[in-house]
Amino acid sequence: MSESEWLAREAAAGDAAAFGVLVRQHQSKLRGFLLRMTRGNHALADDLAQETFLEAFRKIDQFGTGSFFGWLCAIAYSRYLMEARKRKLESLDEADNMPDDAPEAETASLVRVDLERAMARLAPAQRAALTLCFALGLSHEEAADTLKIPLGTLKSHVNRGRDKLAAMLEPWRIKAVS
Amino acid sequence: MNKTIDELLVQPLTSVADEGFSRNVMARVRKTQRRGRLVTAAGALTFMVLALLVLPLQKIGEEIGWLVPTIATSAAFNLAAAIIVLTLLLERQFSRL
Repeated sequence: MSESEWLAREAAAGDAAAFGVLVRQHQSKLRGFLLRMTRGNHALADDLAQETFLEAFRKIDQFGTGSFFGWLCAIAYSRYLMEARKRKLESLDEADNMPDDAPEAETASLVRVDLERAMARLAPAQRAALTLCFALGLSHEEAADTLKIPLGTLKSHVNRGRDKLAAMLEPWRIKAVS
Repeated sequence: MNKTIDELLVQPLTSVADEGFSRNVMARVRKTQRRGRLVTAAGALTFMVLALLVLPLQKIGEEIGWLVPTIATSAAFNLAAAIIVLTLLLERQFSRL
């Protein structure tokens, strides 16, 4: 049994302190994930993260085994989708618009900024799939479970998202090479 | 190009400092817990009050008042009680050995 699983079991038995440890352990990664999903909206990302943790506490007895962080991300993603629909934050269909300005590339931090800009132009499902599978290191199976989509759909989101990113960052690559 | 993209994507997400976030979450969690306990206690109390109002307490008291002397004078009941007490005493004796 992993440490997170043990802490979740203690929390399900009513130990709020155990849940506090889980919050401290996972808050940074969860907020980072939501920050990317909300395209850099810190206030909204933090609100969603708080609601995610509260819902996780209410449903903690429903968590069995496996990745606790994946389970948290599933709640967070579903909350994000609800909020996005409510606020009409963005179209949940694929974002087809390509950037018309070539990204500047001089330093590693600029590359990161460009990546985040390009990420923000992807459809939410592609953004979530790429973030879970690459930056957060979840397996394809775990990411599919988290997003509640079939494995094939997840792989399709990953491939299409990656291809779109490649196309969007091509001007940066050309500039960097030259 | 895909290799470069993969290298960019595997970079960990920007670390977000806690800055009181966990404390705020736990304050809300404790508040939710307290509210839950309060609701349970209020529910139990309401149920008890309703039960006291609805149950025919006087009739139940009379039944018990009639039943106790009957049981006390019942040979079968007293025999059963004696067997239970003896069994428990014997078990205690054996467990000491």
